[in-house]
Amino acid sequence: MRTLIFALVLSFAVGARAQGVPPPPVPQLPDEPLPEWHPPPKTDRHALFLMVSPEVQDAQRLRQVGLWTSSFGWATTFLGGVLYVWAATLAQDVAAPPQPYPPGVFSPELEDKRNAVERAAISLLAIGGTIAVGGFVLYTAGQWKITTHHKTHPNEPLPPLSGF
Amino acid sequence: MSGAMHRFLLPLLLVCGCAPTTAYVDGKPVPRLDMDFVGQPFVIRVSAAHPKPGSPSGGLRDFGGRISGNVCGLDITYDVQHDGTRTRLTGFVDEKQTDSRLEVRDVEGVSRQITGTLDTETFTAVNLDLRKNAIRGNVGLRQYDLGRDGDRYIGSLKVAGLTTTAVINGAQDLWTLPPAAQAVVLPALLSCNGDELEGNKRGQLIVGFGGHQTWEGKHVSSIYHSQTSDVQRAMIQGQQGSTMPH
Repeated sequence: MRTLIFALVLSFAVGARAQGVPPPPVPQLPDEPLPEWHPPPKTDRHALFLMVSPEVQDAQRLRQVGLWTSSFGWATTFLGGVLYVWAATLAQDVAAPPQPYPPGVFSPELEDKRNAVERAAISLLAIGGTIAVGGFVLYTAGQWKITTHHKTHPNEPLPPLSGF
Repeated sequence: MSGAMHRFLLPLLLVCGCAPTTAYVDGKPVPRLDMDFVGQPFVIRVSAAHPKPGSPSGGLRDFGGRISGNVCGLDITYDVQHDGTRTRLTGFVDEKQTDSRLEVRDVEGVSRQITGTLDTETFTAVNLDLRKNAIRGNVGLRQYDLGRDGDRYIGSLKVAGLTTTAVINGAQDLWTLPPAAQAVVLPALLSCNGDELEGNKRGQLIVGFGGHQTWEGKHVSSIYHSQTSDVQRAMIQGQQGSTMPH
């Protein structure tokens, strides 16, 4: 009786430990001569030799696009800032015209120039800021995808500067 | 050009030269082949392959090209040498410090035997008997017994107390690979899913040749999950044996 109980416990333990799929019966076919190898015909399909998984590669591409976009946005914003400073200088000139403008006389030409530069500066600041934020959003989305994938596949290789 | 110059340049060219671009078939130079093969989960490139290798035991003695790629998350690179009665493959798997050596030869025209070591560090021995209608043998501690069922091989896989189903899809495509490439891909492919099978003692093995290429992460091969009690015991016994006083 003790042996029976022990055998039952053991069988349950083994069953709980190993959870394979019961194999099907192995087909038994007679041996055939090995086929002679011939070069396969060329196909249009291209093999992909990847260092990282396709999911991570897509996320990395998104991150890179985000970085470039954001960089362009910040550069545009910087240019807008330079123009804004120039517009501020022109505003001072409108108030106190320098040489060769006659002193103490309002110069519409200077004001038009200041307005044009100011409009350009504001436009560049707005566009650059939007692009910079858009790029940052893309970068964050890519990073989020990498993080999510890394959590589910911790052994997979990661791209450079992945944050892990 | 002087004779001394010739004597200097010829070895230099031989040293600097890449793999040969032609091979002699029936006495005529024929361009060597570059081929890509994909499967689930693998992708390999066979570069500068002999255009007519024939059987691996067919008597050819020549450089057989290079095989590189990724099989089941393992980065592999092998040099192929046709050595008369067998084809030898020497290479590296992942960043392992020790080399991997495989051999393939045909026996009686019905059995292609792939033997050697996939990974020397973990003693992952390969001993496979590949036939048109069956695949039997072992890769490391895994024992396979598969039979052909249409365009796939199905059967059993036994490892570390687990007996489960193993399926290799694309049996037709398996035979589109040259024998050397079969010897590289098949053992590595049959080491797949180690994180589940050896690691968690569950699951099954489903791999394939041809069709859509799939990708597998690093360190899922059984060579990274073979530290079972059996292997550890064997390694300890080996170390004790080598340190025992004579």
